Amino acid sequence: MARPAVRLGVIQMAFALGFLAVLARAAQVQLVRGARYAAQAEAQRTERVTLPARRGAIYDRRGVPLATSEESFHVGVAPNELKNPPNDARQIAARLGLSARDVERALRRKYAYFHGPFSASRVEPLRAIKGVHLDNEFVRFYPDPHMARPVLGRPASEGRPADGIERVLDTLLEGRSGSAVVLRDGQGRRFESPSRLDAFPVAGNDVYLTIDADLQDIVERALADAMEHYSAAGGDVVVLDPRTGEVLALASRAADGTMSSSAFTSPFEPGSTAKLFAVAALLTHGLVEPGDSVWGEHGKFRMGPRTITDDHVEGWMTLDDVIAQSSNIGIAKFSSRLSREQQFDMLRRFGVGASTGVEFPAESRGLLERPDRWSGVTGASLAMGYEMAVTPLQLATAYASIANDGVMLRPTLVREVRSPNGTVLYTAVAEPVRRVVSTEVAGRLREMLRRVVYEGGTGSTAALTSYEVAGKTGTARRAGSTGYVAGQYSASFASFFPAEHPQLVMVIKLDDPKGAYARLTAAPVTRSVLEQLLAAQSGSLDRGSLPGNASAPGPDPLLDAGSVPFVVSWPPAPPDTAVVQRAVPDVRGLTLRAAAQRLHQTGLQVKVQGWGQVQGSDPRAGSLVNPGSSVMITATDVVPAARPVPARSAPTRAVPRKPALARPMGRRAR
Amino acid sequence: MKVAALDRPLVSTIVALGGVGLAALYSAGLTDGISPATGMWERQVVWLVVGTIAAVLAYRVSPRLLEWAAPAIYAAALLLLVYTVFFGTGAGTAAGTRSWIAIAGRRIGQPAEIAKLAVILMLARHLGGRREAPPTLRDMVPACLIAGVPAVLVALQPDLGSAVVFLALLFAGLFWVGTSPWFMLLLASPIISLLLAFSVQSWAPWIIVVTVLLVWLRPYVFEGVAVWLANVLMGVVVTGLWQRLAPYQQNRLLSFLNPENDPRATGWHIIQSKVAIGSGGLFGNGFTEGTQKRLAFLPAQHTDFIFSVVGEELGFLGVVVTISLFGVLLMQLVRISRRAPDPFSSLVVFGVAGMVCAHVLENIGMTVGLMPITGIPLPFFSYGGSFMVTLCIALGIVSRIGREGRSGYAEA
Repeated sequence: MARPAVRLGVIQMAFALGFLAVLARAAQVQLVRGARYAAQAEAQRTERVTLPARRGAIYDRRGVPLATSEESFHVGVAPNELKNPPNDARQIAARLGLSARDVERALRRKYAYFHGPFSASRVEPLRAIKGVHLDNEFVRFYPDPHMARPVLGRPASEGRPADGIERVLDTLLEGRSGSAVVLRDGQGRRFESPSRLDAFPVAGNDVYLTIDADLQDIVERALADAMEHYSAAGGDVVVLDPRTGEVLALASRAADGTMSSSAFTSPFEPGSTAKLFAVAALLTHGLVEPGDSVWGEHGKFRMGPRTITDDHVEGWMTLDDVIAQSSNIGIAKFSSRLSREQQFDMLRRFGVGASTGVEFPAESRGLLERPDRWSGVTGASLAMGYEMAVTPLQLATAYASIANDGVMLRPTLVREVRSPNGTVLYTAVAEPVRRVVSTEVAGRLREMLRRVVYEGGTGSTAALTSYEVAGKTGTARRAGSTGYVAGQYSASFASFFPAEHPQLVMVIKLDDPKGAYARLTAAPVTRSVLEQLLAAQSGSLDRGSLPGNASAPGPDPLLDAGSVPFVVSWPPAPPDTAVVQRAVPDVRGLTLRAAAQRLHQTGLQVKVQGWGQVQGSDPRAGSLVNPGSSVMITATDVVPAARPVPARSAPTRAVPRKPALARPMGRRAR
Repeated sequence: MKVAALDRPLVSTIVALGGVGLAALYSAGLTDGISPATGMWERQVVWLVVGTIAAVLAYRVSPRLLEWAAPAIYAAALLLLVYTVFFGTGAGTAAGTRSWIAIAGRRIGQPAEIAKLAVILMLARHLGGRREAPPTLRDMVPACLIAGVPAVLVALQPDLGSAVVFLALLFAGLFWVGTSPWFMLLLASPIISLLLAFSVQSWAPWIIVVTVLLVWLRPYVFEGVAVWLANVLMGVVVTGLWQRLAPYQQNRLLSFLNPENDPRATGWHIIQSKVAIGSGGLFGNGFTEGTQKRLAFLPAQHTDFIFSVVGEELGFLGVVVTISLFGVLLMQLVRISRRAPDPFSSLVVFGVAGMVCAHVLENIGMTVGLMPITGIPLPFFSYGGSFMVTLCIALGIVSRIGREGRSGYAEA
């Protein structure tokens, strides 16, 4: 141990240097950068969280929910925080409806997460368990996932909804999310205790649509059935209340069966349904005297470079005959009395080429050329409903203005907006756009349309036995990318119900249906919808003001069939004025809902006793009854499995008043 | 045993450190969520009691007996380490390592800690039994083996932090017997070469310095060639091989050598430790009030990172006090070592000082971001039975030596 004093000094120096280095570093961390680290610590342990606001619900006109937001929960469990793990695990499993084994296995991890989502009533008892953390979220729920889907649209998972009412009224529906500051630990667990609430979430407003869920259901089903029956490549149905402009039902379907929004977005050449616009111009400008008639040319007429044909060879025709028989030659000859400006002006008045202003994003304006770009035959083409295009909604709006004594109303989908506490913020009022034709002309046009259905016209297949319908058929050639496609037609039928003081305007359009002619396709579908509507006792009809039975019900080849109204015999049977009785269909074994639909399709009203599967009916299946009479169906009280089973002796339970509304639980959309 | 005979400054320093350490561990267990640190201070009290009994027993053992028994103790420690390498089990944050001896599934201790004491005793016996400091590199080989074999065994567990402590003990012992610093530098040169090899600019001067040293010191030719070759091997060959590895292979190797150095977690742990210490500022957030500790941002806050709790709650002042206490302890140890009655005793005490110093600098240096992360405990603070008992025994021996040094040779 040579020179121990030196070694001692060295070692003391070494210790001192080592410790001073550490101290200097500590001073740097704590004193120099201390404030920055403190801020970093603050930022780490506090978190600003967004408290989601409940999105407003969307209801139909009578409060049937079409889209609602339900609070649901994800459940997180920190196994090491549980007080009594085996017992707590059992309780969690029971409340969440999971198997005890799965929960136990999940709890072996550091943190178990059950995504769910679970309803509030399920998870509420779990709040008391220490170690259970609930995450709330609002899930958009559509009780019937298909109903009015294109009209409603869907909220986007991020950003603004892409389409439908959800988009148009997004700012009204979304509400305002709140925020709070919570304490959070290194594992990301949140501690609610010292949380600071900055802003309460404010729920969105509720929207009541003009849609009638009953009618919408009928219309959607009828459209689907019709497309299948006629192998149509697409179809649209629009039902308006002409007195208010309210859209009561609107459905569009593509060939593959998906719902589309083509009633708003896809213009088509309307064909003969547009002949009425030319007639309106002729009447407004007084260009047709009461006895005026034109020669039918035996169904073939050369006009400039084109040949116009009629299927029904006609002789001399008055203007009423032209509409009733939908004569191309007749309307072409009459329309030649109109100047281009008169014709153009009337089409613009009916809204061709201008958007209707309905609350739907990306509505199409349709198509109408300015008169200075017309060719020599454009006038005749327009009179026949070609060289222009309208959306089904535009066509319905135009017909609604005729039904409404000549005043066009803006079609609307929104009836009312209410704040979360129920205050009414907005109520739709009928919004006149312009006077299209005079009251007298409108009355004349309605009378012409009534004759289409009841006096041997092309719309006779739409005739009802009970009330008068007025309407106009349209069978137009379908345009492809290179011109008209041979053998393809769009069949449309625009109608009023009832013919006097109309309460409904309905436009039905089928793309390329088998059977082609509107009178064989779109018109019977209209009748089917109206019969079901009457049978279902929908609240959209003001029965008190419906006139009495039609004086002379039109020919009805379908009545003998007695059941499915879409089957059309060809050629149509000769007119028969007798009211034909129908056979009560066999609905035994069906569910209540299916049975009610079946009877409604037959035009029979339904009364229900019991719940579950249908056992029998009164009158029995096969009995002949008058259309519109009511049938009592009796069901067993087999109760759906989810409900507690009542004793067998329990009295038969009353059934929802409207079976058509007892929809199955829908899929959750997110 | 007479209480009056105890070295009062030493004992009061130990009691002060023990008290502060236990208080820090108590605070580390107070968290908002449930944490592994909860309630650990109660178990540490049990270990303190066990350690105190062991210290009293060690106090009663004569240094002569220890010197006589050192080879047996050392052999037993080596056997335990060999056993641990093959049959050890992992623990806690380093579950992949084999640092623990378990009997019937219950972990009972970490042999690496007790082996540190065995190496101190064995080194003291070997170096103290010689008349002079090792005059040549070859004469240092036995000492190198005494510390090196357990260091390698511990590194295989793998526990790099403890392996470094063994090397610190070796150099402390060599230094204290008066080995020429230049020879010690030559001994350490391969490792320095490895550390400097990351850049040619630093390695090239180094190899020149080594060459000059060799020429100047003129060791045996064989030794000189061996040292020079070892430097080149470490600096060129190993580095060359290292650079041929893909990054993920390098990471795997690093993680194997030092499991604490998990490339994903390490940065996070260091940041959290610095955030906690830094947010303490000058005066700290108050005892038991540290938010980063409470909210489980600190990793291993009852063991490796307990100093972060001290820094966060007691501030820079608490850090100064804690480090000063360790400084005072080291001064006491050096004093006792200097006055020890014989070379063996002196070397034992100095070895304990080296062990404490290595642990303190490595652990605190890690928490403030000066040292790499290794999982070695902070004496008196970190929870851990093996090290606590080892420390107590070591201090018991030191106290005995202190008493003998004060009373002179007469009593011995």
